[in-house]
Amino acid sequence: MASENMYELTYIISGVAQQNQVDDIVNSVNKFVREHGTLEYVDEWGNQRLAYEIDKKRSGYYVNLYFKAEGKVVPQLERQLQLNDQILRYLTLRMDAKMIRHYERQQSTSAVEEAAEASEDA
Amino acid sequence: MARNDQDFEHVEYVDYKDTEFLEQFTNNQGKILPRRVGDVPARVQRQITRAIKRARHLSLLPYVSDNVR
Repeated sequence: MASENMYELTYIISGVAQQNQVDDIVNSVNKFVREHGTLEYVDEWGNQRLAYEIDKKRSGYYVNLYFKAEGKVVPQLERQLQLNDQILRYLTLRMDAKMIRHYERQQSTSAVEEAAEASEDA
Repeated sequence: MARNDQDFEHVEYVDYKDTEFLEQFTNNQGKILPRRVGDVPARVQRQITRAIKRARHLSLLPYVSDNVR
């Protein structure tokens, strides 16, 4: 089994797309990743204003995900993103040790916050 | 101009998604501030530059922000 690496992928779905289209895209990407590796965490930031126009669009739906997969999976995944006209931009990063520690620290603090929120509601 | 109250040693990785932090290091035109202005250690400055360029690619930060003259 080739060595698996940890990747971080962020992509922007055009702001014009309806919610069902957006959900389809997000689910298809997640499904692709689960088939070829392990999907660690998906974070959807929702519709955001873009800093500058992309393809005449002013806003975009940001999705940020972390996953573990073999190296050869990434080009295939990016090919899927390129083919899809609704996806304006994407950025895939291979996570090095510092990024992974940063990610884990973030996860632990957010987990703590959620726990705190949960305890407050209870 | 860019004050830096927090010490940089604790910063291990500058995340390109952390735009509030990155914005401290760009001027009102969106340009990256030189290290001597922000008084930033070289290690951190390199990460900041890389993060800003990634954020610009994802349109989290503008390449050129038109400040009203």
